[in-house]
Formats: sequence, structure tokens, C-alpha cells
Amino acid sequence: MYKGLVVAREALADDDHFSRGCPSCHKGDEKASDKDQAHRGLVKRPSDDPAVCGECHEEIAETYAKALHFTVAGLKNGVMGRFSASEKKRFQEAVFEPSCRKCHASCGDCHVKGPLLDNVTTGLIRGHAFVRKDESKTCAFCHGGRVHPEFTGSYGVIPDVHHKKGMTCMDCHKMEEMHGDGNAYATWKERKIRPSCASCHPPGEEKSDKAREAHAKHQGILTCSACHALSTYRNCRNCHLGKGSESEAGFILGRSPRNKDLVTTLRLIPAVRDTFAAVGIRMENYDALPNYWDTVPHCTCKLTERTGNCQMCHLVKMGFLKKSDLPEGGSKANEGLIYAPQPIKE
Amino acid sequence: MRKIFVAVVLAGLVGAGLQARSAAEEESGCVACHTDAAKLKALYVPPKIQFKMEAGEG
Repeated sequence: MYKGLVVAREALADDDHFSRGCPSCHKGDEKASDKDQAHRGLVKRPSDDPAVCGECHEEIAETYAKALHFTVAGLKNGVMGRFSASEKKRFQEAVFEPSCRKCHASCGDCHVKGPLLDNVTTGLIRGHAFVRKDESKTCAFCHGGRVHPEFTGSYGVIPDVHHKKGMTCMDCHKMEEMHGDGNAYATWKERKIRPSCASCHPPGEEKSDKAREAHAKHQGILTCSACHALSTYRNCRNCHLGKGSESEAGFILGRSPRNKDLVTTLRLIPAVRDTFAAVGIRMENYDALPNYWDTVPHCTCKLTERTGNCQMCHLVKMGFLKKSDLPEGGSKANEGLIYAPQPIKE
Repeated sequence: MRKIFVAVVLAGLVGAGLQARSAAEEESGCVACHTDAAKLKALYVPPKIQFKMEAGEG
């Protein structure tokens, strides 16, 4: 693990960031001759405060301070709906700040050194060079439980078609999305800048009449992933503070919790009624939110069981959420997500 | 002539020595240590890691 701290001399020579010396960001004492003295007052992660980078990158630092990757507000806002007012306060102090917020990404976590989770990190990305991106050492580390292994096929299923074509995270999730636009959004769904399949695959430019017809018929009813998510994806359940959760593969179709008129792929949320019992939070409004969120599994494929055969949905109803699938003791809001496609004549 | 030659050589040697010393002083302690893998290995103290499953967004 010490190798993650080795700075490459080549990086120092070529980069203006080093012209002012290490203490300009890290403090400490560069003239000291022993480790303890040299590290007195050391700032290990200077870009935990975006204003440090903002001395030169003023505009980006200003927008990034409110971006979801930095605030991780989505993690909090996704569950807050289940809390009473007093529980919200307790959650902020006892859970969000000491635990969830560890996942926040500083500038350095993407551009200098891999993110730090529970004292584990991949180390300096390229010998302390300041890199524009390296998704396998940054995105993959925090998102390595679900979307990244889905995307690369690391779960033993077929990789996402975009990965097979040589695309990486940043080909869809652009720099502007990461850095933010200066607005403090509550969740990722509210962001104005986010990937859209239609930006590369606009309706009306399909290669086949069948595809064009299918898209036109389901416009505004289905999301792209409802048909084009190829395989099962990871669902986590039964999460308890300090103990973790369990996971299982699944494929779930149902109404989007955020827009009941839209049918989409759903992912089970791991929060159960006693998830935060260890810190005295009972989730008094647990039933206000369902146990599923709309999700975009990163296992896209042009042809799936559903694109080739309408009856997989309209007759077989494959993957559609049923009452018998709902978790025991789950939220009363779950039933509102159940959708049964109507039979059709082909 | 000989004295001048000796003086010039001596001046050159002193100048080269001063330049080397100056270059060594210019490199900070941070750089000297953190670019030396063997030194870092000797000084490195591994952090305590509790393998919990809750970290990471997924």
C-alpha cells in the first residue's frame, strides 16, 4: 500500500501544480528532517475544500461545491422522506456526516488519488500527476458494487454494449455533469445535465421499421432500459447500520416511483424498518416511500428478450413486479409500483 | 601564468561544489522522501481497516 504514496519525479517536472511547492496545498514542514516533524500540520486531502483548487480553478470549484458528487445529498435525500423531523436531525448527525459523507468525492479523488473508503484507496492515480480522468481507478471504486461491474460484465454476464464499443463512464457522464452547474440538486434525477440515450440515438433514426414502430408506440410509457436492459442486476436488501446488507440478482419492471405513468426498471432499496435502529431512528414515515427506486442498469443491449418478442411483456409479463415479489414487512407504498401490461394482438 | 591557471581551476571546483549543494538544498524534504519508494516502504504504517460492507455507493 505504500506504493500508492510514491510520487513520480516525471509528474513533478511537467506540471505547473508543483511550481509553488508541496506545502502550498499540503502544509506541513518541507524543511524538516524527520517524518513526524515534516507532517506536523499536514493536510492530507487539501481538495476536501474545493476553494483550495479554486485559487486557480475558480469557476469549477464554485459549481463543484454544490455538485452531488461533492455533497452526496442524494444519499441523504433518498431516505429522508421516511423520517420524522427529529429523526432527520439525528440522521444528519449520527449517520450522514460520519458515514454516508465518506463517499463524497473531493477534486483530488478524481484527479490525483483514488477515493478513500474506510481507509482503503487505490493510491495516487499516476504518481501524483493531475489527470483529467481515470475511471477504472475512480468511478469504479465508489460505484464498484453495482453499476461499474454491470457495465464491464464483471458479474459474469454480458458487458454493456457501450463498454464493448470501448466507451467509458465519461463518454456519457460528461465533465459538466460531474462539476455541476452551480445548483444544489436534491437527487441525481433532478439534474439538468445528465445522460440521455436520445442524444446519441434520436427517435426517428432507427435502422429498422420494427424498431421505429416499437419506439413510437411506447413513447412516454416505457423508459429505454425497460426494453434494453439485457440481464439481471444487483439488488441489495436488508441493510443495517454497521452490519452491511445482502445482495441478489434480479430484474424488476414496474411503475417509476417518481412518475407513475412511466414503466421502468426498478432496483430494490436496501433500507428496512430497523436499518438505523442502532442510532435510535425508527423511520416513523417508512411507508411514505416504496422499497424500489427507478434505475438505469448499466447492462444495455440493443436486442433483448423483450425487443424481439412483444409477448414477453404482454403475455408472459416477464420481470414485472407482482404482489408475491414484494419484501415481507416492506413499505405499503410498494403496491403502487405494480403494473400489469395489457394483452395485445400481434 | 601558472598561478592564474591554478586559481581558475580552484575557482571552478568551488563553484561546482556550491552549485551541487544548492541543487540538493532546492529539493524539498517532501520530494526527497515521497519520490523514494524504499524510504516510503520503511516508514509506511498501514492504516487499520475494518472490513464493513456499508461503504461505497454501489
